[in-house]
Amino acid sequence: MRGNRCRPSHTIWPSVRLPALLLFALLFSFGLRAQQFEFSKELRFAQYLQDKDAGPEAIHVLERIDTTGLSPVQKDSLFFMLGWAAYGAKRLDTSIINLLKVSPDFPLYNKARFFSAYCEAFQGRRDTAAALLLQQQHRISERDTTLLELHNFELAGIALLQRDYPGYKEREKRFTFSSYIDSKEEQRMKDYYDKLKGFRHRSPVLAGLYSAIVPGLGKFYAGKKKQGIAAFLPIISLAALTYEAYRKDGVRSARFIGFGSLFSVFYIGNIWGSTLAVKIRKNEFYKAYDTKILFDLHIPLRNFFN
Amino acid sequence: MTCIFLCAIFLTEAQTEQAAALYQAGRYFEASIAWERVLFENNDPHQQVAAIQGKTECLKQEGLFDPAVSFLENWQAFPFPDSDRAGIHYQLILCTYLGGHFESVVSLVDRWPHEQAGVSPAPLLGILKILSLNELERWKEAGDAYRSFIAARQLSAAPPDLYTQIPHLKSVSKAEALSTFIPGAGQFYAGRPGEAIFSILVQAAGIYFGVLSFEQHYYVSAWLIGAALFGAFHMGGVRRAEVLVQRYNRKKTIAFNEKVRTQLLSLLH
Repeated sequence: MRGNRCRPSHTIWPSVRLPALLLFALLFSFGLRAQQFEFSKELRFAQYLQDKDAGPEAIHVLERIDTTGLSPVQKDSLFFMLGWAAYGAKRLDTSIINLLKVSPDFPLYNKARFFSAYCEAFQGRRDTAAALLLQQQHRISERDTTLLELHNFELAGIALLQRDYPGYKEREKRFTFSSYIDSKEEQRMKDYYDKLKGFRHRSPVLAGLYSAIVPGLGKFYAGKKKQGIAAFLPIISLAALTYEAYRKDGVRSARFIGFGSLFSVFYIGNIWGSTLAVKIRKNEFYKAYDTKILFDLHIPLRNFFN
Repeated sequence: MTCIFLCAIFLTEAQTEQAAALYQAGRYFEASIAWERVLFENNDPHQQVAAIQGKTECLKQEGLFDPAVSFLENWQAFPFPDSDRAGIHYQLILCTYLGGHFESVVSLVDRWPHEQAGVSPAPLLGILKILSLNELERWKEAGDAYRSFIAARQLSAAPPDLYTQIPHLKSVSKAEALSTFIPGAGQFYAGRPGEAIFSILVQAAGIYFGVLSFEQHYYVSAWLIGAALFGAFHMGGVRRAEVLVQRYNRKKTIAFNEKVRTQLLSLLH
């Protein structure tokens, strides 16, 4: 009985199986093509938005793309575009995350790596930036001399940002000063090195001591000349008022105690301020050069990759 | 072919509906992208104009008037039908006004007859020009434009002419000069007697302390406290008088502009 019941289905199945399989294959292929079409359309739309300087809108569109059914190449395209759009919109951390997801097989892999390293350097993570570029080294062909020079230049700049002067000097030896993408920047980097190396480190103790002898002199010594003068005038005025009060009313007078206290506060405050001024001046100096270095690291990247 | 055509129509309609729904839900950023998508995927001028208007509304709701101006300027030269181009020009003037670029508003309204020949401008544009001229303190031109606007409305009973009493603005340099030579006078001139009295008192206190100290042979105190106090408050008083006059003028202009705007808008209904 059981065998009889099964027989009709066995006889029908071979005749239905082929069309069913064909239909499934057709639908699957149609679904796949539709997904691919949808993906490329979204990518083109995001590009269109980016061309219109609508970076945040482009990021919004790209972030909403479902990556589950995408091929590795499509994923690379998506991550690269998202990273690039975020870079344009100055969302550097988002940019780094996405650029680093790009796989080595992607044609713009080098660009993704170099820019993610630059973004890391810009965000103050200089060690990570250097590590990213060093990982990249073995992927650059010996024959690609321009890219090699750029790679070396970026590492040299990051070494300067890290204040690793021997490391910079080592890289500088490989500067040609003749590459069309970074000859000027190489020259400027050399100047920055000279300036950074030649920066005179002042002593906070000495600055405090100078201000104790002549109010404001410590700030002058620290390189804050205007602040030095600005500190000198009120302290000297208070000193004169205190002296006048002492001379006319004596040590126990309210006038002397009042002006004397004020003078003491300003005088001690100025000594403390002078010791801090040394650190502030140093930070300002380094920050100014960091900005210059980062700017000059960026120009060759854009020259080469764009 | 017919199938593709129908699909495209349904797709566009769905996109338009989605953009409108996002706008209604107050999600202006997403709605703006949805309208941009309509522009990206559509070549039908009708749909494009609807998308331009939709996106402009989103940008206005977001307070992004300058980006709205840039966006509209990019579409201004597009060969749409005359009425649609006039609509874009109208929105451009509105966004320029909302963005506070009053010189540009006057210029854009004046260019209307040349760029939109045959299309009469909306009355609101005339009002925007008058208000912009007020903001620029070009009272005579504003008054002329105002009277032309009222005449063009052909009203049975003309409303009171507000430009017979244009705001009397005070001179900043006069306030400065007054405060320099007579302490507190600049503040009085700016209509702030309280501040004027305070300024007089503190400057007088400085002088008094200086003189008193001098008489008691506290010469250092006379100079470093009395004279320094007087000098500091005197210079501050001059600067303060300048700020107060600027504030006074701004307040007067806003009040007058508000009166003009209320009257003119009431005439539109």
